[in-house]
Amino acid sequence: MTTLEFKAPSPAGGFRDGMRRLVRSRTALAGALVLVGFLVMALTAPLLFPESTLSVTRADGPPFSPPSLAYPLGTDEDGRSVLALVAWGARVSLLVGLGATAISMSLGTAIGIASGHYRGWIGAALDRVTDWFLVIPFLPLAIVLATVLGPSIWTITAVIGLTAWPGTARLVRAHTLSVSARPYLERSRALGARNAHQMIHHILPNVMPLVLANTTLAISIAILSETTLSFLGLGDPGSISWGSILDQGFQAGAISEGAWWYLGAPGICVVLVVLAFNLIGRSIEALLDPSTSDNP
Amino acid sequence: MSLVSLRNVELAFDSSSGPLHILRGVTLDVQEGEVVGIAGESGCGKTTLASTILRLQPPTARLSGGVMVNGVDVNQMAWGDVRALRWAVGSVVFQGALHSLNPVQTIGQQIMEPMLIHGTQPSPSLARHTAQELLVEVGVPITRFGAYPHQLSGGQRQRVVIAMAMACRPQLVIADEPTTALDVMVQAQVLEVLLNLVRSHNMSMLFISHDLSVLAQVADRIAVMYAGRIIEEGTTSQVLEHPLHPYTRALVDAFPVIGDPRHRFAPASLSGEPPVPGRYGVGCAFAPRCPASEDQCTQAEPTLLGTMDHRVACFVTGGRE
Repeated sequence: MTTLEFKAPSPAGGFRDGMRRLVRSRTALAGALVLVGFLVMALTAPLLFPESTLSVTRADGPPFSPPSLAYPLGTDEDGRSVLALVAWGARVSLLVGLGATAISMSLGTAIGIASGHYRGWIGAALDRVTDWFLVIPFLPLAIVLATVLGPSIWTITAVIGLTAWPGTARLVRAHTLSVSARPYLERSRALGARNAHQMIHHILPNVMPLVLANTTLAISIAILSETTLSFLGLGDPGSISWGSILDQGFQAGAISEGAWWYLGAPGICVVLVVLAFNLIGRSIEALLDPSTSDNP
Repeated sequence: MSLVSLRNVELAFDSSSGPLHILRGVTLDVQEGEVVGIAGESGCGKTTLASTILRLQPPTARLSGGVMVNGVDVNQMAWGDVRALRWAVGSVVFQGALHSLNPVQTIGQQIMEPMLIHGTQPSPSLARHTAQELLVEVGVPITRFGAYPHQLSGGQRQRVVIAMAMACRPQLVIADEPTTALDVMVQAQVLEVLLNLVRSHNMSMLFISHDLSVLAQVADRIAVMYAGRIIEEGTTSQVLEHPLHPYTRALVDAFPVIGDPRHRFAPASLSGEPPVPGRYGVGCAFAPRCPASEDQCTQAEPTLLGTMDHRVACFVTGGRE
């Protein structure tokens, strides 16, 4: 008799299995390596480049010197190492990117699910609020908020988080509507489940892959927004981020000096981090769907 | 006192072109430990009727009449009592097993779900234990406890849905065409599992099907629905062996007797189309298709008359008891 070997189904919390598959996927691995690189750089920045190297008055290098052994990414107009600036900038850029994304994703997911699940006036009201935030142009609102709240890392995180959620809410709402119409939600109603139970146990896990895939996009957008706002001079003047390095380089005339390393280094960092998150996001989406997880 | 008693239940939806009358005065009782079959073609209101028992009808529906479960009107209950009624007193075996299971939860979690919601098992580990027992009872290997719905076969999924319906040991199981999507062999197995559980725990069951041969196997009594009304009701043997209503007759005749050449050469069929759900005119809704219709049939609607063992709503055949 021929026996068919069935692989034992992975348990609900197959975390190790999941990590193994994530590592096996080339794109996810590439993204993860880039991210880990930047994280290490952000965490070790104070050790590798003591805070004194950022001081304009104590900078010892020649101004606008091209990359060399002593200054691998060249120097800025004050003779500071661009590598040190970029490493320190990673701290703020990643922190703001992740923080703002956490805010916008939680808000967007909660409001999206609620507005899709409650069909009566609650859903309609939440939907109108989403519409309202959706039609406000991002930059003017962010500029006004940053001006009113005063420039700091936390303000800029909150501003990006509070302006970026409506898109997510819309997406999650649309998916919630489709999930709500499925028979297993009818079953959970017939089970006597409360609304909260239905939303947390049945709708949320089904919209989660979408939310996570969207999260990686949102992180990218948040980092870019932070760069934009800092470039416009609305960031925290006391802290260095990739955006503020770009702003500073632009104002110091890096373009006319031909100092490509000054604008190139932070720009490429932004692009790499955004790319890394996108690569990981695509793999996570495939990973979270149990029906695709049997055959890696 | 009967477990479920429906008294003259009428249900209508408002539409842009006037109200749609889906149920038109249905009266039906389900006694404790009794299996009642509801037969009828698509759109006649079988599922809608069953949904009223747990107050699962869409919120836009207008309902009148009494829906009593254990003597209490479901539509007068407080919301919390309705939630407690659902699954703990009456559970549902849904039609499409794949679609009524959440694709991102393991079947074990889903069987445990009603026990945890209703607190019928004091702890999650006991609920887990009970869920595993249920899985064995319905004949699914215990190793599949952590499997996702897409990893099971169609028959296994339907068994899981049955296990789920039994989770809180309800008094009533509403089975809404539970075997429709299955092949005949699996259908027979699943029916056996369901019926054994219902009988051994002395539960009542409301079994909805358009397949009379299935109802013949499971039901103690059969109610035949047409156009939102019950047109014939009685014990299974009475209804299937001595059908009175012309519609029931046509349904029963539609079963070929194997080996009988008469059936082979003259397949029984009904002319005409079933009426559009919700739009019924004056008189008996079946009259336009009825081979025995008379003048009076198009002028008034017959009521359900007869003994408890066999009742029929027909002017032509009903009078000749």
